[in-house]
Amino acid sequence: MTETPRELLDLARDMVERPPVRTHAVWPRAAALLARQALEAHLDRYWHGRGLDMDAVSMRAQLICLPEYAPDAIAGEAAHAWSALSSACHVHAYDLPPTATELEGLCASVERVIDGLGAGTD
Amino acid sequence: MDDAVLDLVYERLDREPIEGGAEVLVLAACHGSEALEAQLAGMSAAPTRPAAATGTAEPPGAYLRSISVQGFRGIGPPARLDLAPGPGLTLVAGRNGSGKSSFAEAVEFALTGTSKRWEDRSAVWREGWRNLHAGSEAARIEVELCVEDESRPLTVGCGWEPGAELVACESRVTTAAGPSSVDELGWRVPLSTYRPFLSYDELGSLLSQEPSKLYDRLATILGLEGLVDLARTLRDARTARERLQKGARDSVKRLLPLLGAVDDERARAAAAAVKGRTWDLDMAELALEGTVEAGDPAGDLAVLRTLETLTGPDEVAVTVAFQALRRALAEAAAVADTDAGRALATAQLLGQAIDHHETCGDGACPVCGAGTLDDRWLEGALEQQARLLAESGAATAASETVRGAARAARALITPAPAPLRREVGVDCAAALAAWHEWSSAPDEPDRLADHLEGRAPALRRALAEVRAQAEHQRAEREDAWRPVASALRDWLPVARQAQAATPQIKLLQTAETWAATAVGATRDERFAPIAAQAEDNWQLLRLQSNVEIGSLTLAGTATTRKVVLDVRVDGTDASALGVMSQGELHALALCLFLPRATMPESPFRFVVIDDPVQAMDPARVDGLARLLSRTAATRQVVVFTHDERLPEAVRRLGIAATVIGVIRQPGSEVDVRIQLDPLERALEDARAVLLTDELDGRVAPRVVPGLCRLAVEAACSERVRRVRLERGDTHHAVEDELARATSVLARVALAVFDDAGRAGDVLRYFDNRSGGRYADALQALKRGAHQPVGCDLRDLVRDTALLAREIAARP
Repeated sequence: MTETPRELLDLARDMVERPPVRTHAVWPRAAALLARQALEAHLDRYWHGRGLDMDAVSMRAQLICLPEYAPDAIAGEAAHAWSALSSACHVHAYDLPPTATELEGLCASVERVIDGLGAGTD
Repeated sequence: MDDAVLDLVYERLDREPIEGGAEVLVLAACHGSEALEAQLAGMSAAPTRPAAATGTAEPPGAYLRSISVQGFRGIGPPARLDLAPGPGLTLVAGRNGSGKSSFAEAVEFALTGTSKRWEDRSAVWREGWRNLHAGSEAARIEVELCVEDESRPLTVGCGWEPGAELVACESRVTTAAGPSSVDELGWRVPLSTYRPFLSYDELGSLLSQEPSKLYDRLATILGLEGLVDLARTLRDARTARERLQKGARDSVKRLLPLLGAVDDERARAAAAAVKGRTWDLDMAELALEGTVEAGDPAGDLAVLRTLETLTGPDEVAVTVAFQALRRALAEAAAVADTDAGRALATAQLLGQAIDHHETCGDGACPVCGAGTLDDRWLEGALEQQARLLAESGAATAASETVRGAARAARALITPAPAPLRREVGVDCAAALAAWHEWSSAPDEPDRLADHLEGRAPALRRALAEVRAQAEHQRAEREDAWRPVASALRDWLPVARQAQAATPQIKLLQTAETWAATAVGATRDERFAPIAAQAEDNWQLLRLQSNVEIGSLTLAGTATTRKVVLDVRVDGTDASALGVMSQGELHALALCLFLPRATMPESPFRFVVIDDPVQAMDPARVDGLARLLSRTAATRQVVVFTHDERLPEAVRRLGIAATVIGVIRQPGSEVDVRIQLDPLERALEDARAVLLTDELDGRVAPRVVPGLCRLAVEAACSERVRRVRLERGDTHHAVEDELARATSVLARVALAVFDDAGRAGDVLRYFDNRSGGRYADALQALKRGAHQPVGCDLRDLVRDTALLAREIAARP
């Protein structure tokens, strides 16, 4: 079975708020991976709700299309959250893992995007 | 004022003596301005050279062993950073806000009781030192240091009760021998002289300042503050005196017109005394006291005072005189008709005739005309006169009494005193006329007596008027003088101080010049090796910078002090600070700082550098890594860094270093652990997630592929950087290429084929190499970062590890 975007986001938040002892240095990246997947999964649902097939389209392209369908503020926040989370999920330049505060902010961002976009059926 | 400065001053005085008076001032100024003032006021004895100050033992060398922090700054629950005590490079990596800097601040605070980065900040910053999450709990810092020649580490600790102020804590030092203190260890001075701490803020502020500030900062690093303070203390003392003198001179400018406006000889004398360049303050003081006319009896005031005392002939004496005269006259008249009177009259007549004969010679008698006056006659006349005078007796006595009384009466008649003729605002005409009358006395005794009786009262009346006028006149002058005198009186002590200041200023100037020379000479001595090393360091750090350091000197004093930093840009001379970027300035500051902190005389074998990398580009980070590595050969170098650039450079350049990761979790819980390279770390992380039972079962399938992909990407980046940088590509070009290869296959293509464009060939390439396992793994990673994967996660981690290590290990 596949988790819903909100379930994934909750998992990400759990990771930030209550990192399991054994994962002490993993949790920042793990949380980033989960939060990003929550955002991606929700976008997927959104496009489906709109009757659009975006499966083969890269995330970057999807985010570029988003302002055509959703309010600019939401689309902008989605793009920003995704790129910030992505940089935490890749070996990018010389960044160290994001801090708990940054991750909390990014999770809140993802939640606003989820709330703001809705299921795409309205 | 610490002993080190006093020692230095004595040492320099030995080499470069100055005159005794100035030397005493220099030594007094070592103890601050109060001591200097006391010395100048002559209230303290000449300072004696402290015997104990010389030859203090060289402090033992110390290395950091651990830093434990609780409830301080970014760290809440207890956290401990273990360090290998000994030369070597340790990198402590953590994001901004991870708490890594709190460790750096904690060491600095425990040892120095402050932190450079707080000094210039607002109170809010200093008051917010307690960790918020630690709430009101106790805070604690404990730093363990291994000191040479000591079998057990010593600890420097600070502890705060709940609610205590930051500054309320004094560091406690515990050694094997028992409790001690930073001072007792002899560390107080070296901590400022060789300052083994440097933060990003400090590096930044070091060079980006106006020339004089920059000079001061460098001078601080050179440990010249004491001498600079000394020179400043002397200068302050001198300028205070010059201000005093200027004030006194300005007062004179106000005082002189006041004095000039008063028609008073005291004012004139005072004005004459203070008019010139050098003031005769004693004279001014005499004038003020009104005793100025003591040397000038003809002064107006003296005249007025004399006039005030003029009473004329004494009334009683006059009365007595003219009555005595009249009485004598009456008695003489009474004896005139007696024999004695007649004998006297005849004798007098004979006397006149004898006089006549003596004058005119022989001749006929002028009285009778019949006889002849000749020698024979004279003989008889003299004989007769003597007989007659003997017979006259009482009559002669009476005549003598009259003459005596007349003499006494005339004695009362004196000429008009000179003061009456002076123009001092008193009308003396009537008095002079009366006096003139008085002094033109007749000769005849009877008229003389009348004269005395008649003229004396008029003269006395006239003089009474003169006295009244003189008194009035003098009162007026006093009234005019009083306010001026008051101003003069107020000014005099200031003027005395100002006058006394002149020789002091001379001495102070001598002392000041000496101090300035001492600052300059000590500065040059101490700076020469630093400049040499800094230039050497810059050679390592500059790498692709076209800025080349020419010479580095400190020059000038006081307001002209500056750092002369000659650089060459592309071979052309330029003024350094104008052409250098922020990053270059930071690098330069570090070049300057390291030699100072690692001087052989320093008891600290460690250097703590907080975030030196911030404004540096990757190329310079390589240079920094080499510089730190070189320093680490003989020193314990602990570097706090906020990103991966320095650890990456250290790994790539094969520099031996321990990398420690600091991560701050919610609640300010700070996690510290030895860090592996990014590849091994990602694999470790993936395994940790797999093996953590308490983790929600939905997490691993979502997270493990992403972590595996990180491992592959890290391996690829490592290989790409190594190959390309060795080939001579610029850092910038390499990072650009890596950043463009966003997909995992492009990254692998870049690493394997040296061409990100061949991403499509990657899967086929690996199909042939490992029975398809690598290709399967790569497929899973490609998808799995976004969606859960269906394959066995343990297999995925195992295959990823093999694949990633294979890529990283490629030659």
